[in-house]
Amino acid sequence: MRRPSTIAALILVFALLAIGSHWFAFRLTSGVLHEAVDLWEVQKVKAVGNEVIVLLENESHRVRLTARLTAGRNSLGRSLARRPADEATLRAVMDQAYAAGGASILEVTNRNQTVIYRAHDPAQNGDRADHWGIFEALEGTGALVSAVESDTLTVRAVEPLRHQGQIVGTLTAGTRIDSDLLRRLGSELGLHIFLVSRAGRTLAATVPDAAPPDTAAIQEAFTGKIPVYRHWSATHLTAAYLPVTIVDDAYVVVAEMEGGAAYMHLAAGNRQAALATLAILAISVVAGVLLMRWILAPLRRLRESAALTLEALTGRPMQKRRGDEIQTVVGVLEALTDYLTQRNRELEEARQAADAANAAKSQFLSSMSHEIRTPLNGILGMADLLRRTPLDPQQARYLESLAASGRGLHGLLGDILDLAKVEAGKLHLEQIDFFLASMLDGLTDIYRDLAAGQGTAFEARIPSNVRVPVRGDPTRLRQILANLLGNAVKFTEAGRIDFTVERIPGPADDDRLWLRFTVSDTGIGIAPEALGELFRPFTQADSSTTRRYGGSGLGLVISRHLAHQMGGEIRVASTLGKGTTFRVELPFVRGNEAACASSAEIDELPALRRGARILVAEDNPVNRMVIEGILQTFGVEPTLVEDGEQAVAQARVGRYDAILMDCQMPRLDGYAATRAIRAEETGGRIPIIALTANAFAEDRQRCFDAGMDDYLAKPVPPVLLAQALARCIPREDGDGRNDGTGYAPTLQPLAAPREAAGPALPVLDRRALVDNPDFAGPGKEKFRARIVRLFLADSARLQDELARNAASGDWLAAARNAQTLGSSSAAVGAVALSVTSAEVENMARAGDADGLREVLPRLSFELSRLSEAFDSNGEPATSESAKG
Amino acid sequence: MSPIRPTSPAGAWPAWAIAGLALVLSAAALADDLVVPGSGNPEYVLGQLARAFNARQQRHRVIVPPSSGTAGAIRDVGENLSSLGRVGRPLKDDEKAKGLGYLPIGREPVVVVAGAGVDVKAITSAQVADIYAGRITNWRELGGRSAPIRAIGREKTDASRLALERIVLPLKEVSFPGTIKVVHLDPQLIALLDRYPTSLGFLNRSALAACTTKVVPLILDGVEPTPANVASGRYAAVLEFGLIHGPGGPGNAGRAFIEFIRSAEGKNILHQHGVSPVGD
Repeated sequence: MRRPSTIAALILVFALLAIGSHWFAFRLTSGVLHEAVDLWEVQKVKAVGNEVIVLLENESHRVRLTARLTAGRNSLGRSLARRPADEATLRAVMDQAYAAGGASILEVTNRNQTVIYRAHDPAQNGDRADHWGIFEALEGTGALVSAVESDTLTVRAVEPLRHQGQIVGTLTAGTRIDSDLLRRLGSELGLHIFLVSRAGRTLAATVPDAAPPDTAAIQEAFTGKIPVYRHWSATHLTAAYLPVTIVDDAYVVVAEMEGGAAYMHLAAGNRQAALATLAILAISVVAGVLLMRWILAPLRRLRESAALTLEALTGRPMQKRRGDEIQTVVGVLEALTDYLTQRNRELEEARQAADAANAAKSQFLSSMSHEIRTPLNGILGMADLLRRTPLDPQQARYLESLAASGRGLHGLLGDILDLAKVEAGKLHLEQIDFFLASMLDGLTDIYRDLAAGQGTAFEARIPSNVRVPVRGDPTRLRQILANLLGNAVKFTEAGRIDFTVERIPGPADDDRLWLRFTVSDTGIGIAPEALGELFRPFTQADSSTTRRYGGSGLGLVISRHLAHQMGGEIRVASTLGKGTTFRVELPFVRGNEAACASSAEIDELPALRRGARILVAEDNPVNRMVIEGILQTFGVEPTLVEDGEQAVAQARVGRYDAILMDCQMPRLDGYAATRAIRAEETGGRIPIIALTANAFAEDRQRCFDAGMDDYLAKPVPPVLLAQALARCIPREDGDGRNDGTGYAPTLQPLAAPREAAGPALPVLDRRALVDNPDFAGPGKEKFRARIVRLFLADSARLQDELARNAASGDWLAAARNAQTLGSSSAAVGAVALSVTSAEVENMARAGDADGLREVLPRLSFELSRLSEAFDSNGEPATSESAKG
Repeated sequence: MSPIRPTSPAGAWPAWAIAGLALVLSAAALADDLVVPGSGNPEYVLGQLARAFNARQQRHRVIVPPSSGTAGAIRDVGENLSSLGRVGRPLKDDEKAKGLGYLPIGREPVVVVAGAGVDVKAITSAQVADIYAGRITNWRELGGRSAPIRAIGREKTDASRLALERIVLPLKEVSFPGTIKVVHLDPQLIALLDRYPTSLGFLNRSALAACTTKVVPLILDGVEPTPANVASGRYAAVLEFGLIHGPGGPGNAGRAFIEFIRSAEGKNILHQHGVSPVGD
C-alpha cells in the first residue's frame, strides 16, 4: 500500500485528535451541564413558587386590612345596632366600601350570623353564615380563614362589628384566589401556576382548562409535606409541587416553568463548542502544516543532498516521492546503508589484502635481511682478510673505501631492519641489569674523541647519583644516545657539545628511576618548519644535509620509537644556526649490582683453547672462507661443510667442541640439522651456535627452540664470535688470556709491500701496549684505549705537518715531526711506523727531497695500517695480526 | 469545616506549637453547629434537650429548627444536608433501604386536645370520628357550652394521626369535609389550636407545651393519657419518636447529643415532658 504523504498523515492525525477530544469533552461535560441546568431550573421554579406563596400571603394581608378598616367604621355598628337594623345606611356604607375595591368579597352578618349584606352575591342575603371565623368574631376575636367555595379558594378576614362596646355583628372581607389572580401573578413571574386542593381539584390555574401535570407528584407533596420537583428533559419542563398552608388549610401550589431557553442556550453552547472545535482543527491543521513544513525543511534539504550523494555514490538516481520526506530520507538512508555495507565489505577485503601484502613485506624484509646480509658478510669478511695481505697504498685506499662502504651499507641495513621491526611491532626490548655509568663513560670517550677530531669541545656531566645499576636494554639505550651524540658531532663542525645525564622526578606513584639525557650542541641547528619532520622516516632537516653529511634519516625515527617503547620520550629544541638540544627522558627499574658484574661487557678477545675443533656449516662459499679465516686467527681448527645434511653427517663421525650452524641452507636448514644432531646425541651435548642473517628476535627464539645454544647475527664481528665460542668451549689452561700467545695468528701476510725495503716489519707489537699486563684489568683498558686514540689523532696531525713542512722545504721542522712520530710510535708498539718514521727523520735532516718523496707514502701507508689495527674505540682490531 | 493547614513549613515550628495548634484545630473541627431538622412531634422536647445540652457543654451547639416533618428529616439526612434528623415514627423499610439509621428516643401518648375555650373534659372515640366526619359540629353535643367545633385534622401519613387511629379506628376511613382544616405541620396545628378557642385537634403530649393558650388534653374513652396509662398499655395511642442519621453515622456532635439524651439528665427532661425514654 502506498504511504500517505507526511503532511496528509499529520492532517489526519490532527483531525482525529480534535474530533476525539471534542467527543470526549462533550461526553464529559454534557451530563454535568445538563445536571447544572436542571438544578438551576429547579432552583428557579422553587424561588418562583415561594414568590407565589408570598404574593398569596400579601393578598391575605390586604383583605385583612380591608376588613379591619371597614369594620372600624362606626356607622356600620350603629346601623346594625338599631332595631330594626338600618339596612339602607349599612348597604350604602358597604357599597361604598365595595366600590373602593380591596376585596372581592364583602359580607356583614348580625349577631345571629344572618347575612344582611353580601356585596358579591346579593341574592344570598339572609343566609346563615357559619364558616370559620364568624363565631370567633362574634366572640370578639377577628380571624383570617380560608375556604373553598364553589371550587374557588377564598381567603376571608372576619372582624367583629361593635357598637358602643357591644359586638353587634361581623364583617367579612375576602378575596378569591382564582385563575384571574393566578394569571396576574403568573404573568409577573413568567410561569404557569396551578392551585390544587387536597381533594385533587384544581382550584385555579393560569392556563384555562389545563390540568396540572403529574397528579402523583401532587399527592406526594400532600402526604410527604415537602416540596416535590419534577423535570421533563424532553419538553424542558420543570415543575415544583409546593405544599402550602394558605391561611389555615393545606394546598399544593404547582409552579410549572418552560426551561426551553436554558436548554436552547445549552444546545447553542454545544453548537458553538463544535464550531470552535472545527475552527481549532482548521487552525491546528494550517499551523501544523506550516510548522511541519518548517520542521521538515532541513529534512527536505537533507533528502535532496542525500539523494545527490546517493546518486553520486551509486550512479543511480533515487526514486523521489513527493511530500513524503521521512520515507524518502529513510529510503536514502537505507540505500546509503546498503552502499556503506558494500563499501565496508570491500574495505575489509582491501584490509585483508593489505595485511597479506604487509605479511609479504615482512617476509620480504626477512629475506632481504638474509639475502643482503649474506653477501655483505662476504664483502666485509673478505675485505678484512684482504687487508691482511700485502697491499700497495692505492690498493689499501681502495680496500678501505670498499670496507667503509660496506660498513655504511651494513649500518643502513641495520637501520632499515630496525625500522621494519618497529613498524611490525616486533622490536622487543631486553631487560637486563647493567651499569649505566660504564656504558655512558664508554660512549662519552668515543664521542669526545670524535668531537676533538673536528675541533669541537665535548663536555660530559654524569653525576654520581646516576652511577647506579639499572635494568633495561643497554644495547637500545646505547643506540639512542649514540645516534644523538653522533648527530651532534656530525652537525657541529666547530663549537661545543654538552652531554648531561640527570635524575628527574617521575610521575606520581612511579618509583622508577627517571633519567634525562641531554645532548646539546652549537651546531647548524634546525629550522622551525623542519622540526616537525624530524622524526619522520627518511627525512632530514634539510635535503642538502643528506648530500653534505650523509645518513639515512632513520636514526631519530628509530630512537624515538625506542624511547617510546621504553616508556619515555624524546624532545628537541633547536634554533637554526645556533644549535640543537635533544632531551631523552626514560624510566629505569633499579638493577641488581651482582647481576651487573656477571654480565659486564668484555670487549676484548677472550682466549680460546688452541686446537679446539669447530664444525662450520655454511652454504655461502665466501662466508665459509671468512669464517674459516677468522677461526684460524683464533687458533682453532675449523671443519667446513656446505649444508645441513653434511653437517649432520659430519657431526655423526667427527668429534667437535662446537658447531657454527648457518640457519638458511639448501637441502636441510640449520634448524632441522640441529634437531637431527640433538636427536642423535647420546652422551654430552655439543654446543651449537646459530649463524643467521635473520636479525629478528623471533629468529633467535626459533634457534633456541630448535635446540641451539647461542645466536650470532651475520656479519659476525670476530670479537663476538670469539666470545660466543669462549662461552661454550671449556678452557684447558685456566687463564690463557694473558699469556700473550693465545691469539697468535696462524694467517701470515703473504708478502711484504713492494715499496717496503727489507723484511716486512710488524704493524703492531701487542706486547708494548695491547697485551701489556700493566694495561690489563678493570678500568685500564679504557686508559689504554684513550692512549691509542690520542696517539692516532696526534700521528695524523704530525703526518700532515710533516708533509706540509717537507713540501715547504722546512726540513728541520719536518725532521722534528718525524722524530716525535717515531718516538710515540715506539711507545705504543707501532714497530713499522716507528722504523719508517726514523727513515723519514734521517732523510729530512739530510734534506733528501727525492728520498722523502719516495718514503712519505710508505709512512702514510703504515699509519693507515696502524689505524686499521685499532677499531674506532681505540681497541686493537681483533682480526689484525700484529706480530711479524 | 476543614482544618486550616499552617502555610509555613512544619520544620520551622517548634514541636509544642504544632501540637498545640493541632489540638486547637481538632477542637475547632469537633466544635460544630448541629442542626436537627424534621418532625414537629419531638420538636418541643428535643428543643428542651438541646437547650440543656448546649448549656452543659461548649463544644457543640444543637439547633432544633421549626418542623419540616418527618419527610423533611428523611430528605435532609438522605441528601447529607444534615447529619441528624428527627422523626415522629420509626423508619419504614424503604427508608431504611436508603442507608438511614434510626435511634429511638422516646414514646408518648397522642392526645385529643381541645382549645382553651372548651369546657368538655372527656370524649369518646366515636365522638372523635363523628367530629372529623362532620357529623358533630358543636361542643354542645358533647355536653359543653354551645360553640362550633373547629376541628383540625392531619394528613393520613401523619404520625400522630396514625397513632390516634389505633384507638379511633374509624378515623382511617374518614374523609374530611370542607369544614375541617388540615394542616401539614405541628406548629401550624398549635397555631390553630391557639387561634380558635373552640378547636379540636390531636397531637403528641409533649408538643402541647408549645401552645400559648390553655389547651385541654381530653380523656379519651375514659382513659387519661398519663405516662402510667401509656406504660400499662391502657392508653394505646402512642407514638415513638427518634433521631435518624445517614450511612456515615450521626457525627461527633450527634453522638454527643444522643449520649446526653440517654444520660440521666436527658431522661429526666423526657420524663418531665411525659415522654418515656426508649433506647439505651
